[in-house]
Amino acid sequence: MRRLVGAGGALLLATVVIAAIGVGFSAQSYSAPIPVLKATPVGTDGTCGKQAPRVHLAIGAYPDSSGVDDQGNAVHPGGNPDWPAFGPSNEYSVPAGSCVTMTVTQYDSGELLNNAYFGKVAGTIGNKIHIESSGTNVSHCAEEPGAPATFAGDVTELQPCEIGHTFTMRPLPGVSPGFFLNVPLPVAGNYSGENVGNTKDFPHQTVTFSFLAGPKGSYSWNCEFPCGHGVASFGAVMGAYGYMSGYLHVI
Amino acid sequence: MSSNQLHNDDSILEDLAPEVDRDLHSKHVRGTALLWLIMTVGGVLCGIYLTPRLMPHMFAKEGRDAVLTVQVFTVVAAPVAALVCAVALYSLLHTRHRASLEHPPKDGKPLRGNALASGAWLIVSTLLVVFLLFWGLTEWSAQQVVHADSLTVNVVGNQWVWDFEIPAQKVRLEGDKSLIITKAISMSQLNLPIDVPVTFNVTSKDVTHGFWPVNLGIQVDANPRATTTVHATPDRLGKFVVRCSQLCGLNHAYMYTEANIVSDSTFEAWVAGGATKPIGSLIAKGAA
Amino acid sequence: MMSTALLEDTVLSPTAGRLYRRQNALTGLLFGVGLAVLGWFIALNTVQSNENFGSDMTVAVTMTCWVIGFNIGIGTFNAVFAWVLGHDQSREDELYGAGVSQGRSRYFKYCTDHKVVGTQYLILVFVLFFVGGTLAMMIRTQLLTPNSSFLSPQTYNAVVSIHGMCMIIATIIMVSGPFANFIMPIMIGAKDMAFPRLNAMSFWVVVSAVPPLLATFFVGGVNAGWTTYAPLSVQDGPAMICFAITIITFVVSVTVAGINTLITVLTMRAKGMTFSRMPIFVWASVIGGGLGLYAMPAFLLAMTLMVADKATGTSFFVADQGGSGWLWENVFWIMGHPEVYVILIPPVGALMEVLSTFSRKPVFAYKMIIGAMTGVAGLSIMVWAHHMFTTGWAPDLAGPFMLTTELISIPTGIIFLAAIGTLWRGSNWVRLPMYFGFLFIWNFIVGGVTGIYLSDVPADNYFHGNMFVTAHFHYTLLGGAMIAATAGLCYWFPKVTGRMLDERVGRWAFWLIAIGFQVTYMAQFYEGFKGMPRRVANYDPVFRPENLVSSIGAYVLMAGWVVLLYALVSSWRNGAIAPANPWSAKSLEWHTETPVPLENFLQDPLVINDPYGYGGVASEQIHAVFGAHAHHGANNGDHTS
Repeated sequence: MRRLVGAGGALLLATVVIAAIGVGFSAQSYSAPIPVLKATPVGTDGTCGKQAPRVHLAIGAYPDSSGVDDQGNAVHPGGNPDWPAFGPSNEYSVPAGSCVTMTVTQYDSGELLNNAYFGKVAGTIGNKIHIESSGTNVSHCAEEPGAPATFAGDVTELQPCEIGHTFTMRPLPGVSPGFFLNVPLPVAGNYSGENVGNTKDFPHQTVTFSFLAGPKGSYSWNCEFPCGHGVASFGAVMGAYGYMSGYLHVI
Repeated sequence: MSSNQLHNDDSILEDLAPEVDRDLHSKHVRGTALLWLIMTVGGVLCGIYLTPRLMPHMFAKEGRDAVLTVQVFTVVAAPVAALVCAVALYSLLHTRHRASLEHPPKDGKPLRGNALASGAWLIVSTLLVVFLLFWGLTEWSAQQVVHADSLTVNVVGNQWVWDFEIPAQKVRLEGDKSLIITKAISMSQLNLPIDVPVTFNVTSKDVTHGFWPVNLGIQVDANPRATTTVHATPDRLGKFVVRCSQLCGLNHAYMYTEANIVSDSTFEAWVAGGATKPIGSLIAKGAA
Repeated sequence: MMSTALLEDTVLSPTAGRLYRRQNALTGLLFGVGLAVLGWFIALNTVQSNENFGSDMTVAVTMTCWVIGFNIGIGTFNAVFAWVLGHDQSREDELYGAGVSQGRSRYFKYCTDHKVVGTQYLILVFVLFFVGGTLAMMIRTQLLTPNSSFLSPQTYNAVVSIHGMCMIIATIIMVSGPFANFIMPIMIGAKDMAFPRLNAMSFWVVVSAVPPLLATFFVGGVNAGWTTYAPLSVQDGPAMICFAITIITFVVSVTVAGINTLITVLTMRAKGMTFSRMPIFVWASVIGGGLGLYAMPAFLLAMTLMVADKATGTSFFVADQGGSGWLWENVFWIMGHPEVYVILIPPVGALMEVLSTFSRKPVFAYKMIIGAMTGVAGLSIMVWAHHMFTTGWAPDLAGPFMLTTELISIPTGIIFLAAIGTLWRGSNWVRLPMYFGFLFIWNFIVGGVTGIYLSDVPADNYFHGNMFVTAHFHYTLLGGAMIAATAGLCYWFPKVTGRMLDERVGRWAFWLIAIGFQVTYMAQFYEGFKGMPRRVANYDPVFRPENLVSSIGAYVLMAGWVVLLYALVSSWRNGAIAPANPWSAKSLEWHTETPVPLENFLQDPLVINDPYGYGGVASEQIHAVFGAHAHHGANNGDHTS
């Protein structure tokens, strides 16, 4: 009996200790509790090629994750001043089967893609995106510094030197296989990193595109522009969950 | 105490040799042999019937080679594994000392070795190893044969996306039809025609990835600044998953896409249509 | 016959031990943290400003300062400084160093008594296994369901990496630490290890290696797995620096310990302890330690170059700047495969002692076992590239490496032959160590058979990077090595602690471990056959049932280890007092008092036979006699009492 109580007590104690460590890991896992950005339908239309509930998602790609956006909200709670981030959240949720129109306002500069493949639009309705430029945006393509970038309107592809970030998304294993979304976001401000900031006072690019959300399940997105440090510039911010990566939950 | 009073191992062995021989005809041998036989049969049946059912349908000979290897190796290993298990189990079944756990039972037979058993064991295990090696090398060298006019596909690993490119080339389809690809095709999925030998040239833009088209049974790493090559001939229609098999950082778990093996005509139609539509939609059309 | 005064009762002068008197784990901690803070502060104001390598350099400086500071504080360098300053150690200082008159506090000090070091190692191994096991529970909890969001991908990778390295460190020292230190010198009739201060050093250095490993979680986590393949690891954050400092420090410890084991066995054997009378476990310690001396320095080298790549911008492993990831993979596995046998050989040696003692039979084919262990060690340095069959590096070497890899199954087979030969017609005394002995045989057979699939290149092209590999190496390292080490632990527990292990609770633990283990890893074999990749935070829902089963099995397995830990701790505290030789075994450690006195033997042993004379004629039943005129000796008696 004493043995049973002792062994049971030891098991209980170990369970409590391990569970406590587990809760700790889980809590720090998603670095900061960022509320999921939830999109609700605003009617039904045929934007996505068939009648589907329409939802809107508006996010931004900011050069300074420790700063605030236009609304005065922190871009990324506990952000790092050297690191860019997507905001106001990196997790989004949309209803299954809805037609999602995303607006990504891009405030960050950029230089060259590692792989020109990520300059090509994929997976959006019409395989195109719509770009509205604001302010003077100078890409790395410009031979003479100061020459404005020319992209605007509907585009299907951007040059590897015109890109600041990308929004690249694929399903989690087993969820609607074959889905692949790639949206290049053109450089804002100056590619050298000057004249960029988190608000509309700075040059920015507004990119709009639509895609049809599949059946229920989660999708993982990340940025494919090498905006980190180290090997292939994919270290630091690129390897830290939540800044340049996240999920879209189709519910 | 001086050394001449000490026994050496060999003399003990000789002393015991007659007894060892008698051992080989005892009920212990018969009991163990029975256990061994049952386990061997079980292992062999598992190897033949169970293992292929555990593995998915393969889309290429290379994959079926892997399944066959598992079957054959299980069958070959079964008698050896069964012998070890049989002796251990027999010894466990003949435990008669539960009543007096506090005190050690009387000593067992002082078997310090048996030249026959050791020699037989060595020879059998060496033969098995030679067989395994022969099997592996035969299969491996057969897989190394490169078809002269295979379809070249460039595979690029990126953190955490695969992308594929079919460069401009003349593809020889089945029945000596040929398909001329005039402009490189860029794909997010791996779309391939059936029964056409494929050479994958694999590289990476950042860190090491592992190119693993699961049901083809081939694998090779994607290394930055190097191109590695691997071959397979998909011979079954359908789709399967292309995975990254080498831990590549944050979203490694999500670095996968789909492979579609389609008929010649579907492939031709897809290429003719600019290779922009999802190939799945063409298959559906063909079916309708 | 006991008339000699015990050394540990010596009354020392109040200055004996000098500086050592003021040093313990706490001063180590204080010096370590103090120097680390100082180093961090200096680095922050100097190198941190470097745009590319600033934080890596800062972490490198801080962690190096911690390791050095801790070792200054604990006393690792005392004797060296004393020697330089011309203060040689007196006999009193040495006795103080060996823990005389310090009671339990000697376990927290730089103590040179090999039995104290062994016990310290044992506790450290428990701690490391608990940490690694807890991380394993995190992994299995994440994998309970396909799209679990218990851990983020970043945290998941960090947990997987540190689970791997923590377990590798723990398994390398799980036998060579506690038992090669506590038991092995007694087994050969030595008074202590050849280099007692280096022995203490090997322990405290590995202690100082642990905090940087755990610190990785606080600086972003290691993303690259325990294999830390470049260039991913070079791309990784400063956590990789902590990881490298851990390895470099750990290799220093393993090297020192390996040299110490080798020299001890070569020079400290009792009279009559010829090589062919040495217990198999001593052979296994020597072969394992010697193999470590070959393997581990490659790891130190690799990690040093890794730190250089990360913190100073060299490019040994960065292809973009002329380096090569394949270089890392080669150097890593040149360490990595022999390391598997550094882990495995000592527990197998311990297992042979267990099988012999509890079958009441000599080990079968003594010389062949030694040959087999040597053969495994020798071949293991020539098989490393079988980890690289699918990397695309040197495809023409597939054949040769397939050959060497499959050749290893010949000596491994001999070890099986020896095990079943020892069991064959034995008396099979089923005490707790024997339970684990049988479990080892089953697990290692499964691990061995699945290993031959992986040695075959065409099959490996399917299984590589797949859960099959995970299940395979857990069957060999956890189910094989760690279960054999547990058999050894239960076997030597009475000698180490002076108490009998509560075998009833031990058997509950055994069944939980045995069943939990099979469920966990058989399910993972199934996942592997089906094609589930390794090291993924989320998986396709087609793998849901087997992952659920595997996770439940893992919880049961962990419960088993916790119950075993309870049995060990409660028996250690108030178990029945153990007699000197509870198993009526023949090797020397059972023929000295429990607790073992300082310098181990009150009378010097004279070895006259190998320790496996069970069932033999009377003259070979006796392993050793004690004292100058000790010609008598009962079969299983304790000659010193």
